[in-house]
Amino acid sequence: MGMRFKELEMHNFGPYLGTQSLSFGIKRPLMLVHGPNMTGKTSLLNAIRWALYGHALNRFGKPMTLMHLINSEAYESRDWIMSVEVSFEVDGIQYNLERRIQPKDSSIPPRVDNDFEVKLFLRRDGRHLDAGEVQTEINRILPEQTSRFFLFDGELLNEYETLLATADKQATLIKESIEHILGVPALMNAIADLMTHLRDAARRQQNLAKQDHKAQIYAAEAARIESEIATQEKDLAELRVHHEGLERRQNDLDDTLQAVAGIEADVIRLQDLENQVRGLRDEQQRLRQENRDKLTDAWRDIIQPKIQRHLAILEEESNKQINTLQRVGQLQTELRNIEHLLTLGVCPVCGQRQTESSFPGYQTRKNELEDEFAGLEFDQQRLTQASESIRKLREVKPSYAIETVTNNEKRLLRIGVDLADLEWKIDEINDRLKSHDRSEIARNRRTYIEVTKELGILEKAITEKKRVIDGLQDQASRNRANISAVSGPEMQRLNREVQLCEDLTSLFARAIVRLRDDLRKSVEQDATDIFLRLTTDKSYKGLRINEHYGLTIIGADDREVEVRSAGAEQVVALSLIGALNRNAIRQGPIIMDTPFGRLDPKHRENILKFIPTMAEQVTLLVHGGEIDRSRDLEGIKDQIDKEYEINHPSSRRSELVTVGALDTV
Amino acid sequence: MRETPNALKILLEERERGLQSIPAELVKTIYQIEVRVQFDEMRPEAPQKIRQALKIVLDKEALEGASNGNAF
Repeated sequence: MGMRFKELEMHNFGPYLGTQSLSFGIKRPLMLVHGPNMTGKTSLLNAIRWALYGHALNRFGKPMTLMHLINSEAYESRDWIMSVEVSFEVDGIQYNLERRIQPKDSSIPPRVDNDFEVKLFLRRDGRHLDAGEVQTEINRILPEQTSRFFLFDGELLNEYETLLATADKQATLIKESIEHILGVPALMNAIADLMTHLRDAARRQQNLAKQDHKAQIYAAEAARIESEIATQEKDLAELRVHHEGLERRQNDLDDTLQAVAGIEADVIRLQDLENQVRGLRDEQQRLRQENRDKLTDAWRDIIQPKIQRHLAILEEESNKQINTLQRVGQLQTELRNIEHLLTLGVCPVCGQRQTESSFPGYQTRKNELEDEFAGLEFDQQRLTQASESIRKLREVKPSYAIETVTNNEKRLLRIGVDLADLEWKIDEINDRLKSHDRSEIARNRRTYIEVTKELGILEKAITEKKRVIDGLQDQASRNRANISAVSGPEMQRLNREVQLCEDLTSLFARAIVRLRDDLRKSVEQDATDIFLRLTTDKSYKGLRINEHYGLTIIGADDREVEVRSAGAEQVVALSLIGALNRNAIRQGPIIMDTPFGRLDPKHRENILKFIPTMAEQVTLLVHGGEIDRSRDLEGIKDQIDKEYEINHPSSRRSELVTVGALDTV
Repeated sequence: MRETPNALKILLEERERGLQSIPAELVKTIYQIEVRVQFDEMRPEAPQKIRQALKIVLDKEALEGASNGNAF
């Protein structure tokens, strides 16, 4: 089944004030909408998504509220009607879909989403479908589960790919979406329906066996097993209901926590800042105490210059007295020797006899020494006093308190500045947190962890319950073989019916295993073909697929390439999308938002050439940084049907303008 | 060009491997019923249609058996 979009008309949707329309090309595969960031490219994607499925997604992949979607300028001017109309064609059948919101009479002006009523209309070849049929018909044409591979944000492409490489719940959901496109659910549903019919046929078989004496015992056993299966299935159903409820609770909590993720970060930041403040206050207190202690000894430093000056004087005086004392000693010795020589005529130092003619010279020397001796002034008391003063003054040692106190004061000043800065930041965060209940956020975080744990336990219980049911079904199958021994045409027909159901169930189960295996191989091969066309690294050999359809690059040495650039991630993701489209049981138009954001020029050129072959209709929403019209589009101009530009006259208003086919520009 | 995996083809090939007692037409019919409704959230008509398809096969086999003197 092939689908093509024809027209899109929006009224007050996102940045599009009033009515704006866009006509999809039908002659050539490619349409481009050029627009800078934040001007309404994603809103175009969201308009189609909202019209089809009733919700638009923000950049985190979370649903947006109607109050966020409606154009704010329109809202302020009391125009509270928002609508999106999409016309499309599926295998020659014309469809026209309109989703519209308008305020309820009792809720003017509308302030929350519930103040709006939502209306949905779908015409098929001009005939209005009943309200109950509309969503079913949309899901028949382009199921929401598969839409992520037709309507997608290029910036998020590699996230799918990263998720698929893991084995968490998201990966399972994406795997289910992929298998949806590839047609696996048809076989799975067949098994479920055949099992229902098998149980019904077995019950009829068992009722008939009760009438046969020989088979009564098997009928009773069948009843017991059936009752046991019913009990186990009831338990399983309850576990699943509980699981679904918890999963919803987990999703709600996840949404709530996502919405307050900034708040949580603020709380953590606040705790960190408060710890810093506590640390600085402790340091402040310690430094102040140290300063107080140091200042009790600071007088030593203050009088230190005076002490040093006084010490110098005293030391000079002391040295002078000591020098005098030494000189007195020397003079007394020399005078004693001259006296001895003049009296005995012999030198007391060398013991030689001196001639009398030398005596007058010694007398003159004696007179000189006696004169010097008489001139010397030695004061023992002054020397003692000076020495005592020097000793006492030297005991007054400097405390170096001034240096420490000065350094501490500098640090205290810095701490004061830091504390003021931290307190300002704390006040700012507290202002932001004022409107939020932090204890509730913490409570939600705890509940989220508990719910996640409980989900894990429930998942194990569900697996175990399924194992028990499988065992019972094996028992039931063996017992049915015993019952089938009962003769009679009615029993034979029932036996055949049961056998057919069992064989069909087994056939479809075997086919699922093979189909999944074949599909994985086929997707792997197609993705590899596409990847080798797109990649600029010729050393790569291809891609390898895992059980969740996650792809890994295989290098020249046949080993998985562990490190990939953001550009390579995007090329791998596009290869997966291309391969899924080739293998999909239903083809659809592709709308890609910002698909070239992470690509270098060569990859961009390769991908631009490839994109028109991905589907019959591909719409690219691109900004100037991704595509330069004159430089990049020359090589594919014959593939381009239409081009639009987004004009952005004000921050709250955008307009779509046709720029015409490239060859006419 | 390489052929993409085809669920019906796989079903019929698997039938050949020891499950020939299932009429090939019945396999096709059940598969087509499920394909038609696989994208519907509610598929109320699928079990009913499968029941009808099984009944037709059983009636047909009963008739063939009767003509061979080997009716149920």
